[in-house]
Amino acid sequence: MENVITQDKFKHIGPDPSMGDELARPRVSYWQDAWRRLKTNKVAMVAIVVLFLILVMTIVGPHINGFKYEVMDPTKVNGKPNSTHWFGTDELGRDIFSRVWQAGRSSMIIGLVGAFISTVVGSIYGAFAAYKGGKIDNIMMRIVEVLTSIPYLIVVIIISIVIDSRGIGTLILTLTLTGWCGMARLVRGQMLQLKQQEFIMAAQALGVSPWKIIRKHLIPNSLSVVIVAITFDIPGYIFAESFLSYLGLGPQPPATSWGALASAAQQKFIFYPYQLFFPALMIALTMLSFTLLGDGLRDALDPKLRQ
Amino acid sequence: MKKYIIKRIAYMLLTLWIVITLTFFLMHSIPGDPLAYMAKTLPEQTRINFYEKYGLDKPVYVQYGIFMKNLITKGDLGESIRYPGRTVTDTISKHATVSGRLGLQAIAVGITIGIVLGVIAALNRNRWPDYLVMFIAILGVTVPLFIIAALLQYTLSVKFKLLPTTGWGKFKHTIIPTIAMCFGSIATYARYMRSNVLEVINQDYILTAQAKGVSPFNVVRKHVLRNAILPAITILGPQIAGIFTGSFVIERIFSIPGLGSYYISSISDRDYTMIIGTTVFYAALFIVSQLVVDLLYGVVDPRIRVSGDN
Amino acid sequence: MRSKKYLALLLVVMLVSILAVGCGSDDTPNTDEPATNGNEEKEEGEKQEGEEVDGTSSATFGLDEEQYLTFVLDAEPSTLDPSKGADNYSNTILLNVMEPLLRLEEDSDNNTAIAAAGAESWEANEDGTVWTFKIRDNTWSDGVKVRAQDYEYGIKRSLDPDTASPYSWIIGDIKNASKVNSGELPVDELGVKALDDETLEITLENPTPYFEQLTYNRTMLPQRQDIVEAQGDKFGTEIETVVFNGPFTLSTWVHNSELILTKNESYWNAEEVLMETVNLKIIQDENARLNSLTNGEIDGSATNRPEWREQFMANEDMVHYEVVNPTTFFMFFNTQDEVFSNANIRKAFSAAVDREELANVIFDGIHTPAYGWVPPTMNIGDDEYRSLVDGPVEKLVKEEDPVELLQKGLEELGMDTDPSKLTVTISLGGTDQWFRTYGEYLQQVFNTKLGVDFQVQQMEWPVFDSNVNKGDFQIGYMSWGADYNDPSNMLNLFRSDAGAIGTGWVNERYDELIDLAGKEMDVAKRLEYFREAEGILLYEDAAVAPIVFPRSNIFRYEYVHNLGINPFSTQGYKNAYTWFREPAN
Repeated sequence: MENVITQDKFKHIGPDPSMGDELARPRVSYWQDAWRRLKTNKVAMVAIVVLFLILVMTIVGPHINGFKYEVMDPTKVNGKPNSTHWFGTDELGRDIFSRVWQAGRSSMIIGLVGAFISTVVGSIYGAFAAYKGGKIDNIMMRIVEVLTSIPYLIVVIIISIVIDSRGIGTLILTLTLTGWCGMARLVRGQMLQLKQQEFIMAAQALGVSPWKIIRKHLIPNSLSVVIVAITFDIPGYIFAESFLSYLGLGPQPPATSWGALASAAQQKFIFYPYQLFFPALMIALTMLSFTLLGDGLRDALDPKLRQ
Repeated sequence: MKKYIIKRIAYMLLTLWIVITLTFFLMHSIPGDPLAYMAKTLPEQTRINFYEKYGLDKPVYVQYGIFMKNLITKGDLGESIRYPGRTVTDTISKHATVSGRLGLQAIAVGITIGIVLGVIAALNRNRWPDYLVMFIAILGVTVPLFIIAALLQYTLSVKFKLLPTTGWGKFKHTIIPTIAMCFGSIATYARYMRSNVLEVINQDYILTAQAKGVSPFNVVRKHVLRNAILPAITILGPQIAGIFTGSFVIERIFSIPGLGSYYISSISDRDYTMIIGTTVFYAALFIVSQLVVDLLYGVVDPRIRVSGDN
Repeated sequence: MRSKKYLALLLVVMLVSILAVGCGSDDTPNTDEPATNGNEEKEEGEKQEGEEVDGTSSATFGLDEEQYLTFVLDAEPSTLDPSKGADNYSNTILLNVMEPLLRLEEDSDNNTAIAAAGAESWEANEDGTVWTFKIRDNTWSDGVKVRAQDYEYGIKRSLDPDTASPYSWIIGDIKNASKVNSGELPVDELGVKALDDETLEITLENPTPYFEQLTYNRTMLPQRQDIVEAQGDKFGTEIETVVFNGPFTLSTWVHNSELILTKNESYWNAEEVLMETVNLKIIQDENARLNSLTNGEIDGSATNRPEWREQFMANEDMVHYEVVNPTTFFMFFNTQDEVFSNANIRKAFSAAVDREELANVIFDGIHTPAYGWVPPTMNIGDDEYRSLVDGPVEKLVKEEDPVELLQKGLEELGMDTDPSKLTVTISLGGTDQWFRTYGEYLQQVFNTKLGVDFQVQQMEWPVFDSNVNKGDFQIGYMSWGADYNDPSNMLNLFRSDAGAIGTGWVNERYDELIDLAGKEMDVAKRLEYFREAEGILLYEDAAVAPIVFPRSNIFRYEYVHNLGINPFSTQGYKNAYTWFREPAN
């Protein structure tokens, strides 16, 4: 019976700062980790900087050199780039520098708003279809198929007649009308995979409402795929707009866009290469940056590649 | 499996019917008529005779009924209005062959180059060859096709006179259009392959193979490629529809008699039968390719293998 | 390239000197004046060629041994059925593979004159209502003789309501044509009759001074009843479904890509046709067309793009032709619209346009300002109408102040006279870049000159067409090209029952004048009727405002000869030949 534990058997050693190192690594959230990994990706960081610069220029660019983008000057038709008109002038003597940034504003709005709308609509639609499954899912996916199969130009023409305008807003509407279908498919596919996982079943068993399951579990878990898709959607919209401009169904004057500038300049690029070069460069830089950023994000957000 | 496919085909027909119906009424609701191409306002009698001849004087729902009846009973898509006497089926099959040949050629070149670039990039992950290769792969799709095509035409055929500017019939006519068109596939497949290879390369069986002393080249060839290419096949599906429907931009710039220009011109000509015909063709291809992709997924990834009651 | 050119030049000098020695005559063909009496030159050339013993002699004349040309069509021909389709592309082909009753042949001064073709002679009765054509001895490409009945059948089929020809209205002057076309009378009642295999008699409703000009229209081309009936709807869709009787036959037709015309050896005048092959590539994109021309892949093309024009004009290997087209570009007003029901307001908008400036800014100075409705190149009798009659808009621009006119008009309508409160919209039937620029220009002009709020609406052509038909517009803009060479073709459009251009404009005196001119065979009297009518149309009532008369800039390599440039001429490729073409690489 000598087993008496006495106070003197213990000793207070106090905190030891050196022991801290023994922790494997600091606790980081998924997003912090993704951002940390993205930061190490130089290419993606350059892309972010370029995109930021372009974005800023589309806001301030049209006002920098004092030439309004829509004002014609018959005395300065088709001028080469020079110290007054940095990017030269077009066939009506308008300043290309101001026009490029003004056009960029339209193109960026089309890209960003278009991607935003298609992401919201597509995600909700796709998630709902996947969550409900069965008949509803089937019907919803047939609707997507129908929408993607209807000749797009007919839709474009009808909308421009119904709305009686060919402004940027109309363009965004026509482009997003079927543009969200891709996102819907993507989200649905992602959701279907998630749905079978245990934590969702657990939530369902606990009686969590469907809406809350979508909001709290499904959406956050498929966000990485969606974010990457957005970075490809934005230049996708800019491209789609440029194709419409090539067909002559782009924005109506005085509104303009990179696609409209490029398709007009394409007709005479042999004679005035600079008129094509600047809008094409902007499209290329934007496209390249978004794509590289998207690739970087994918690497950063992919849990499987987590080191 | 059989049950599943039959069910899917039934759904396909239903979808197709909805697409036809919607398109039919939509196209008749846009202003203008097939005589507008003459750019002259015609005397009333001329218009009346023309409408009567092509059945355009009847209410749209009656026209729809006649069209559906001919389509279902005879598989007949009717006769073009803009090009009198030519059947829509003939026109589609003739021009889709042209688009198909060019499209397949472009995709074959694109896939080959894309896969090679993707593998190189993945094996050199985050080192300079990775950046360089991926930059090259993406470069071709950073500007709209109409710019690339025009630049290629100008440099290769006008400046250096290496190849004909336009035309169709000989292999040399297909070279520039193929180059212009393959950039899309190169970018898609290079990026897809890169991430697939990265995924495969971390698998245990690769480590095992390396441990067993298989040469790096054989590891890539026998294990990495085989496992990384399979999933890439699934993205081929949606592209199949695009191959046969052609590219408007390419066909216009290089004067290629493909089907792509009909999608645009039939609408601006208000050539109703041709609009519906091309739509049916595209929709059918698209829906079939969706089915093929879904089935392929099952083959590639057993986890999503479909069952009859799904 | 350079050295080749010098070599060719050297060859020319050598050959010409040989010729001068050999022939010792002054009929040496001169490369500088290719079009001069091209026909006779060739005939002599041919004859002499025949006289020479060895086959190489044709080179002595510089005439290329291989006679071929490559040109461009802007789009696919719709059909070779003369009674269906109405596009320029199939018209072009048809005129080369079919033989109309008469042709408009172009002379060395590029003037056109009616000449015998499928008919070797023709005459009209005294009052000009009955025309008799003597059909020439000619064979179809399948060996069957061409008969007057073929022409009769062709015309009747075009007017048969069951055919639904979109062009049938153009021969509405034939007796009972409109009644037959509307189904009121059977086709047999049409005033066209083959009296025998060689004689075709056509009876007209009224004396029609321009009737000869209609005989080369596709609706009057000969057709073989047996072939048409055997082929049914397929007639005209492929080469195998048609037979030819023109200077060429169509030997290849790859839809949307290429057509090849080959000399028709059974053509009645085959010996005068030098051209063996004409390749027609279908190229829709203008840049691609011009790239092909630069490259020498095609032998000629037309462009109005100033930069290309300059480049080609500087090219020593090319010949440049500037041609005025029989077309008018114009604005037209909806006279049923509240604002534009007022003549003074219409006049204000017509007078406000500085046509000189517009032609320079928008059309790079290529097109000419239009002050009249009837375009240049259109003849009345043997004279150009425009050279005899001043454009009425000239007077309008000179004498009237647009701002005052607008004020006056607004007062008459009882509207607010402040122009800035007036919103006016122009509808443009095109969505491309050019229309954008054009709209922007007009907006600037009317905003500054009249002070109105001027809106531009661009729409697809078919939408525009349908809006105009419904009267749903204020100002429209379009162009109208003449179909045949007589002022009536342009002025008849505004008869109140024609409904051709949707102005909704009605003027009794105008109708009366047009009717008088339609029946009058005396040129001087017709001229006066037309002069007065044009004045009402453009000055007093200003239902339309002509803007410019377009011109084409045609470029051809200099070895292309005797092809003709007059837009009305219908001779096709049959008189053309090449002379010292550089050997193809």
